[in-house]
Amino acid sequence: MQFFVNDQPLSSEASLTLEQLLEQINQTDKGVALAINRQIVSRSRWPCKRIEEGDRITLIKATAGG
Amino acid sequence: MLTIADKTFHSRLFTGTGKFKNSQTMAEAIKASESELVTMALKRVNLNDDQDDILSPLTKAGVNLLPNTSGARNAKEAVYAAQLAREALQTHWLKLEIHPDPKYLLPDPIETLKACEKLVEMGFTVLPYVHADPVLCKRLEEAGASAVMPLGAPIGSNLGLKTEEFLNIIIEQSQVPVVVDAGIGSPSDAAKAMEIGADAVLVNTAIAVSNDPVAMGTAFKEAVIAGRRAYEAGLGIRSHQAHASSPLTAFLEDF
Repeated sequence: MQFFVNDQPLSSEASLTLEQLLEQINQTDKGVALAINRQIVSRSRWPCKRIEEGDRITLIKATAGG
Repeated sequence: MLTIADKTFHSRLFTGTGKFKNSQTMAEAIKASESELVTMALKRVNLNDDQDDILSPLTKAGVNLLPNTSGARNAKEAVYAAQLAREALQTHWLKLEIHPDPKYLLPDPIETLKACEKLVEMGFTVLPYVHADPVLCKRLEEAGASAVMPLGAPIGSNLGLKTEEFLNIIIEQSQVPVVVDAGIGSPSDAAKAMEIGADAVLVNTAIAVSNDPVAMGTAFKEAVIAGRRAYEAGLGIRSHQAHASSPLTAFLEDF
């Protein structure tokens, strides 16, 4: 299965939940939010929401700013 | 004490987190400023990048976070950014900023009003960053903005209160708190904004790029306190003629 995180192609043999994905790419910090195909998925749904073929995931985090 | 929406603040100085040389200096400067509300931005995670954790020191400092929508060029993008910000930082507070032009970073009034209406409907506490336009500020207030944040001068310019006359009108008319944002370059600018009756100021660049951001954080804290105290005390009336403050008695006339 192939999908994209911030336009970078990633692939996985197994079906992945969002929570598993974030663990794999080492993004388990607080201050992170994500959307699949521009639909925001709230944190409470990360353990059960599965990534599908071709999904475009936007992963953002809080950073310094004025 | 300043109340905006559901929060009360002891400090009338809000600060930003951008442009500091490292997160330790940022945290120390914010601590010195005694600011209780600090802005943050959002960025796309770079999967190949090292962790850049500025959230932990801010959480540790116990300050309230105000995520912004910087990068949004229209209302639609701002609403999307706002929802991501709410998820990322678990707050419904939002600094709404929409500036399509990177040279002057001036806010788009039409898109800002549209986005404000939508975000208020969605339950956000919206603090819009706008030009010092009194009519727009009233429209945003009517749309449900919890405060208005008119600019003193372009973001990061340190030019001071170039919009002072319009800030006066906004302050006179506003039923929601007025936070002067952008352009404040020195503690005297902040004091001035407070003297004319602003409810708070938001300062980032002037503190962050100083040679000693921690000392500058203290200087801004003191200026904001002084300016507010002067406003509450009531400033004397200005005049183009002298008005003697010593008695002009004629005791030297026989000399």
